[in-house]
Amino acid sequence: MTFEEFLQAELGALIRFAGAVTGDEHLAQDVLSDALLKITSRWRRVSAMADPGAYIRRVVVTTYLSDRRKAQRRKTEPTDDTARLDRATQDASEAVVQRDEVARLLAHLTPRQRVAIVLRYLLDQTDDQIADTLDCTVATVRSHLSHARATLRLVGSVPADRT
Amino acid sequence: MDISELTTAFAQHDPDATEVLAGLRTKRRRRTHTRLLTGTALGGCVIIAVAVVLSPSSTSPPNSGTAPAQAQGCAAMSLDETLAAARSGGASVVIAHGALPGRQTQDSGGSVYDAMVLSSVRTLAGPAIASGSTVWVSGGRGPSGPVPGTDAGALWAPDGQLFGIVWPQQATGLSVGLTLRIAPVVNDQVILSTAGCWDATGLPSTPFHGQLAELPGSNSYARAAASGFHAVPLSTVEHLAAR
Repeated sequence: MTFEEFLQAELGALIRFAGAVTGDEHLAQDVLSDALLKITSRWRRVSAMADPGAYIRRVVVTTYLSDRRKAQRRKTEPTDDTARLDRATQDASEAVVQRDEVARLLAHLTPRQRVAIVLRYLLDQTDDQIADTLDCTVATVRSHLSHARATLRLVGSVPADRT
Repeated sequence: MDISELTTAFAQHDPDATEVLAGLRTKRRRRTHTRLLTGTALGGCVIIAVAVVLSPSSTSPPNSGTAPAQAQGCAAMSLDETLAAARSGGASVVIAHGALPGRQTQDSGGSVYDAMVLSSVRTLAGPAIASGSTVWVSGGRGPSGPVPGTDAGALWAPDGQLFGIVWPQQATGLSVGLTLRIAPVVNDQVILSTAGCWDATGLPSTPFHGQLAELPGSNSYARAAASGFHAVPLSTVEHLAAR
């Protein structure tokens, strides 16, 4: 499979993944293009893998986490409550208000917690798979998920920890 | 919050696919350019399947300025440094004749490369390159070139003679194989210009106004002529290569 064929098949899914992980379309664009750039120089090896998509998602995650670390060092991040401006005026739409609340809660997650949540609830990955992507232990993954669920006040049919 | 609200929120920040691909292309160009400047890879050369011969009368007249001006916008890397980087990077420095068989390919990242078959190869430094070897030159086309405002593309002598650096695949990471960065050789003089981002700073040189070969539509000759062509004695270049 060529890199172009791979992109044609997987770009849509990678875009959704990057958008979910970063929570910012411009950052997602940057992170994903950086990740794809890294992949191009090693495509022959990556394409021979059993699941190139999983490898590239891992590169997206590491690129994102690296970017967040750099952003923290730069100390130029705006308030994590990016929805504050939206709340300056009342929005008549209840749906928008609800979305605003979800975005506000998501903004309280750490980058690793957010990645863990995306991998679990968007890609339905097991704790082992998440641990592999985040390069940490399963126990750490469970801790990330637990804290994230508490922060998000997740209710309803929350799946139990899975291995 | 329930799961459906969460997954809905995840879907609200998808970047635009065309923007992602545009960003990827831009970053790949930058990377290629960086490799070129650091002498670790071929970059920004423009080669064609059918060469045309251009003379000063068919383009704007070349600048007859001094050597240091000829590399405006390209790397501030002398030929000596470039050749040293080539030697330490495992590349081969050659004098050869090049012919274009008209084959094109793409590397894994989507960049186009044109084949060039080398004959009468004389390896000045690095691993020996055999006559008959096929090397690949970057096939980016058009006046803007792979790196707008910097590399003017690729030029070689009307009879095919060239001076070049052949980079092995393991050094460039490019999937196409051996890649080549070239300069024309005319009357025992190496013609350095922004075509290939060559720098004649500090070398004995004279202005060059003769004919060179390029691909129709690449505009390489005219772009390089804007900064001038500088003829450096081949013996000088051979001496630098053999250090």
